[in-house]
Amino acid sequence: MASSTRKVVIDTYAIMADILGEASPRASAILEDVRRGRIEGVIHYLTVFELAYHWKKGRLPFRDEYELLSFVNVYFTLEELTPELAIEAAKVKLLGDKLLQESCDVQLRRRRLSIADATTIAVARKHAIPIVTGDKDLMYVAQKLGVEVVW
Amino acid sequence: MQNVQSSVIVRVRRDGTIVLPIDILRSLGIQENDLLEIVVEGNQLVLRPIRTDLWLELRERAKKMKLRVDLDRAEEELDEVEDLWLARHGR
Repeated sequence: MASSTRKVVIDTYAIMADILGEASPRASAILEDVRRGRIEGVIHYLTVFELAYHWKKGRLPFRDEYELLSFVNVYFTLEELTPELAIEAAKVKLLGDKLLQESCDVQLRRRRLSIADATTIAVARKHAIPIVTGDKDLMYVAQKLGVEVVW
Repeated sequence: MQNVQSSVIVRVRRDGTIVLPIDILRSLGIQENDLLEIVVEGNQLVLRPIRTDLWLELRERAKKMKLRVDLDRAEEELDEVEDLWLARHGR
């Protein structure tokens, strides 16, 4: 990632990995800068949905939903979901599903790009910024579409 | 930090933002990027400086709780939920 980068999109996988101590050293360093407010970390509505889903499944240590909301409000910029972004995400999803189906990797061939991942890529393309993620299918499609991925 | 008793009136903007006077912030040792907790007490709003970092606390809590999650499996689980939804809504 270029040293001038001051803004990144962060997906659910990266946030969970950081809290659970499983993020890569490179991703950890960037997320640490996001925590300290040195880099702007962008997330979207579906990232919040996924964090809430995993919290309710007992996979994240939030005490209650107010703490989850505080976490989102304090550390991240929430990307507004506009109709334009939804249309871009739909295009990315169709393209992403096709790319995954044509992949040489058997594991990736049986995956489909989630709506959340498609939205993450659409946000990254809109702002021309990298994505922080360790999610394999998101990484694969993002890189195929020319979006920088940090992990 | 000094104990200050002061009162000032500020206007709430359309998006809900308010500007806190810099003198009051300085007198309480509150700096840029510091966190404030908003507490509703009856019909009053209390702004309380937060000295702990929630993100660091979450990492510590996860460690203490020995939370172990297969992140790839968790990701796939959400995809399966989404597939069911898409199937129901006419993929």
